[in-house]
Amino acid sequence: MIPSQMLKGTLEGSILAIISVQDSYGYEISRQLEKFGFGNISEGTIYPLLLRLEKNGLILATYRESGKGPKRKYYQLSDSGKNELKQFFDSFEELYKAVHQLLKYLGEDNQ
Amino acid sequence: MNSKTKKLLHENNEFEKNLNDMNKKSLTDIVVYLRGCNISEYHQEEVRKDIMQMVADGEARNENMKSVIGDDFKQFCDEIVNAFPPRSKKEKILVAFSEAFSLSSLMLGIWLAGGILEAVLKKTTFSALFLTLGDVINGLLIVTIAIGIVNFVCKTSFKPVKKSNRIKSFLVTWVVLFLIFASIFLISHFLTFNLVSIPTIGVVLLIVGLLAVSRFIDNVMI
Repeated sequence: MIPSQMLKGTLEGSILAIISVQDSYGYEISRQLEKFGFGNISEGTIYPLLLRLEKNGLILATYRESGKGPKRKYYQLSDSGKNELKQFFDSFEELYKAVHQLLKYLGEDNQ
Repeated sequence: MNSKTKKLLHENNEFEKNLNDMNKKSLTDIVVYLRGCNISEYHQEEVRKDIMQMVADGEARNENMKSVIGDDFKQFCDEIVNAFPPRSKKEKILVAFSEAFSLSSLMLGIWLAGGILEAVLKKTTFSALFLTLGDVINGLLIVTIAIGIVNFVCKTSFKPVKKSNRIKSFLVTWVVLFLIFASIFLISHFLTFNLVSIPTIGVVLLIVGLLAVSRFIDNVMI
């Protein structure tokens, strides 16, 4: 299980990545995250992040018909969201390389 | 409250009826908590709509609210509030003015109704509203206490009521209520100095004007 503190920094970027593939809504996003190995993340965790992304103009929300209840809120990536996603990938790659180097160094050191 | 918010509030009230009783209760706690938070009424209703959609979808999947939202509703609400950009100084001032105007019009309405009722009972004519120093102080006192009670209820909406504390709370409530009413009575009895008199038409225009400005600010603030 990924610790929540570690997830915090990557969840917003990962949500943007999921939405970049296809317009989606809260529950679907949480299931997608689970499918990719992020663990069981409730909609209650996702919703405030979606709200922040929306208020910052990184995603756009549209209401569409759903089977039950009021129209469901679907999210799509905005142009600023696309730039933010690219920055997230660049930063994450940098972090990944750094951690990978560290692990490699520790591995060599142990041998 | 502006018309856009009223419309959404009405839609949400209608939809809430479809949720099961347990979810309705939890949702009420969430909404009450959000009412006391520093976000606009429209945003409160917008969030309420989204949460109800989540809960309704959860019901359709036979999931309870805790599995949809998580165990900590308060943290969920706090994260929602933090997701909104903080209000600027200008916005904070406008909100304060809107609330002050709205409350002032309410107090003027109460004083006007009280004055008319008194005139009817005494079979005299009501031509102007006379406000004593005691009336104004009591008005401020009532508004402050009302705001305090609302804030207390909102901030403690997730706190379970302990059975052992019920008697204590009951007694404290009655003592506090007695002190409040005694203060109001003493203030209105002793501070009878006439502060201002406003003709009836002036009071009506003032109420309408204050409400209009408050409504205008609410519309600007969405």
